[in-house]
Amino acid sequence: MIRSFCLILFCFITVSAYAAVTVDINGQRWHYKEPPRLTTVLTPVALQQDWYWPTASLFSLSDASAEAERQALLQQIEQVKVQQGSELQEALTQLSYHIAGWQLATRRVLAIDYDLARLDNRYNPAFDTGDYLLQLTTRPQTVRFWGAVDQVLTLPHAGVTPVTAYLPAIGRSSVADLSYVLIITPTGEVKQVGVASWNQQYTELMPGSSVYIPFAGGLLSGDLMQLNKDIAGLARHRVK
Amino acid sequence: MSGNTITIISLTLIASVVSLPASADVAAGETWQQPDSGLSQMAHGGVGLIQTPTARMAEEGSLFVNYTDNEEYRFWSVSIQLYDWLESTVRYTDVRTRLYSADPGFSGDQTLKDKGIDVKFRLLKESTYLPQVALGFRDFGGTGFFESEFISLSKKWHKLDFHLGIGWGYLGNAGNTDNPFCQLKDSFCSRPIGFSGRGGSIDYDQFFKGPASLFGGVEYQTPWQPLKLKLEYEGNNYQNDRAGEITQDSRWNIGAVYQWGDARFDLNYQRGNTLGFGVHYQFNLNEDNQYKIKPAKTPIVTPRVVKPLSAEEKAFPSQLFKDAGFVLKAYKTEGDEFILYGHSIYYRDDTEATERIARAALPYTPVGIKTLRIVELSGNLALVEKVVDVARFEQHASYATLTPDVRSTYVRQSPQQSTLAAVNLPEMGGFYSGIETFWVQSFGNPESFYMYQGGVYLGLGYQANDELSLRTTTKITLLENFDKFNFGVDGQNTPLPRVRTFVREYVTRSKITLDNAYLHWQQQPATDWFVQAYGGYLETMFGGVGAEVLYRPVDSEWALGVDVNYVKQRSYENDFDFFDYTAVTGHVNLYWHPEFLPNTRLTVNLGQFLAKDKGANIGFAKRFDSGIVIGAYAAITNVSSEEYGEGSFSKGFYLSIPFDLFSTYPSKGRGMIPWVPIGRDGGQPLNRPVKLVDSTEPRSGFFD
Repeated sequence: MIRSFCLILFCFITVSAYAAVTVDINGQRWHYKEPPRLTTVLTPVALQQDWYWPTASLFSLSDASAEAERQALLQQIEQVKVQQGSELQEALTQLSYHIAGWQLATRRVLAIDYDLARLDNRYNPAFDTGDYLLQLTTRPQTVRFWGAVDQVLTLPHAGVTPVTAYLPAIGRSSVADLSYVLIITPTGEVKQVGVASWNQQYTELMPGSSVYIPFAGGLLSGDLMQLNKDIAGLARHRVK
Repeated sequence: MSGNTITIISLTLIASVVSLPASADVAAGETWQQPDSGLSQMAHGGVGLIQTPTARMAEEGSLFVNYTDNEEYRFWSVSIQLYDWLESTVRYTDVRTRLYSADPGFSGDQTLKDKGIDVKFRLLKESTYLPQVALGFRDFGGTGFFESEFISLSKKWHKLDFHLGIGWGYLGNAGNTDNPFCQLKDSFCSRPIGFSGRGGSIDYDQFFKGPASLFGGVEYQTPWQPLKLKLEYEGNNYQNDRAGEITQDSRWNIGAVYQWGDARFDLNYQRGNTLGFGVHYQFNLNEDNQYKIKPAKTPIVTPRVVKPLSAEEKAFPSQLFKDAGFVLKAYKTEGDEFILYGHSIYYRDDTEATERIARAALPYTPVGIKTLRIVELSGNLALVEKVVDVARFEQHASYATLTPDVRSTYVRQSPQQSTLAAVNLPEMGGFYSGIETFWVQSFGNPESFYMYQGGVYLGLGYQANDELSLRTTTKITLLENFDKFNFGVDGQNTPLPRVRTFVREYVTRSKITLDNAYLHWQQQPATDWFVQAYGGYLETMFGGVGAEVLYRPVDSEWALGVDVNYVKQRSYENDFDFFDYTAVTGHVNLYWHPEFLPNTRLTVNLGQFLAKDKGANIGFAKRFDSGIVIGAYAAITNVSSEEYGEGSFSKGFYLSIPFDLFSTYPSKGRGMIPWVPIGRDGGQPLNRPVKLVDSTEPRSGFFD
């Protein structure tokens, strides 16, 4: 997978010499001499399938900031780890292997919706010069739980169901913070939601959401709280 | 008992469609699942059970208007969540079993009224094992009918919210537990009786003293979301109530709260023998907004088709005015820069105003121009210069980048000397007129609880040149019940000169009075410095001369100024004469927007007041996202509370509301609703007819 990705990158670099903007849409490459508007990019593919626009995500391949964020986060994990107990240390080590294996690209958070883009100029921006990856999917059927869990779990998405209803099925590990979860929506936002008896909020999951179970710290664990937020923040840049 | 202070609502008359602000309920719109009914108010106002407070805090910016009734007492209150850790409540109490005074000639058959202020601080946020903890003070100013201190704990478990508290004073009258402080120090074992000074001061020496009681209860969110049930155990025995001894058959109270949109209705059964009810209205000061009818933003055409300015001399200013509310005074092309000078008069949001101006100017911007400079004037003062990078602006305003951000395409700065020197701005001059409505009101008077006076301020003036003008304001009363006043100046013996307490004489003398008439001069000697001087009849009660200097950099956390005035008291017998009393009054004025308190302005005015008392006036103002500003101030001077009289020291509150919230068209005006519990003669500043901090407002944009 990584090899084919590198190959794609290589192709981008060679073709980029001739094009201002290159967009890879679900594996198919498009070259534009002038920066295109979003509608221009979407028109040839928009009606091919019944795309679920909320999960459409755009990544910039010319922007290395997500990778830099990953390196900083891995270092941060190492630093935080030394102050923790052995069980938490072990869990953080596992997670940092997991994170090191992620395929990342810098996410551009914007609404991608063919109808909206055609109706309103504000939702039809032009691309900046560079190489992009655009992922379109049909409506996902699952939600994923990871972080302080016994194992990463993908569950079928249930409608009209709060996030708390999924939790009994998740093996939250003994180092998990049982009060909160961090939801990474497919639209690229991170939301912290209370799930314990004292702070429960009714929040439904969007199909395709990924739910990060944070690690628990003691009373004075500001470091760990920040780390949890940063891990969830980096997950937005994951290329599916 | 209660004060007879006059407060003024002054409303600028703006020809626009008026409608009520729409309260945006975003939370409810996120999911079709109806949210739980949330926090509700107690009888005295503020988040709580029925009689007792809890540690819960409403969402920041929440404002509740409450009316509750339980036989002996009626409460009107307003409770505001100023920060997520601070709740404040003001309240008027009607004691239905007592008369306002024993003298029917003074207050007729009116029942006793009292006002009170409460605050509650959150000390600890709830977490897995620990409860939320709050510390509160009820009715700590004023004459303290209900004065109490409390510490409250709240812990939630699914649909149940449990509360436990300990209270001193009114909340702890039953003494159902030992006062923990009494065991530490004997002086805490009994509570001093009465109030210090002349009422209205904070009686620190009573805090946490005397009998203490535990109180608490539980709230249950029923499966039917709008309905909540409450059960409460209180720590007051009603033996020493202001309404007289009240029979208490049970310490347990029960209640139900029903939420209907932004309103809540509650019904409760208190003391085992009394039915109570309440009506509450809630909205959020951060989310309050209004639908707007605005002209479309001038579209960006690429590539740009430039309309030659020489042929478009009329179309250019008219487009700027129509699309951007910008009154163009002059413009100039200098090298690769295009400079506009003018007044931005409609758009309250500065980013929107700037975007609109730049968009409207682009079609007239010659090719080759790299920088657009927009100089915002106020009168003859050059307040802010916005330097727009034309190429980047064009890109962001036409959404020619993936994540457009127009604000990043320009900087705000002090107008540069070179920019100002580029043109000779046309001198201002000529006659002008204006009209403002006003509403004067006073709560808690002996004659009638609510007294009012309304009418218009008619402004007439002549601008001689950029710096000098003659300004007058005539007050015309159209509607009032001030004729009910049955006495003039109050009979309290006061050693202070009566600089403000002749107010009733001033406001009732005539339907038409000359409010002010003065010569005014102002200048901007350097880009961050402003000076003004004025002389004449400066306000309703004083005339004289004065001058002010202000140093205020653009978007700075700080502004500093000085004002000095020599004034003479005006006669209340006619429009033009003076009394003998004269005073030198002036202050060093410090304005500070501290980083640690977001959207907050602190003001300190240090100097001599009208009654020649020396001290400081400390002001606090918090701005909410809707533009509504809530402020409070207190003047602490070297006048003792005995000399000061009722209220002990000068203090007040105000609410400043942008008209924009009531109008479907964009506008910049504001209405101010002050509430001064008691106004006396100490700590009273001169109401200067023009304050530089107001005329230079766009420099830091706190109010707008």
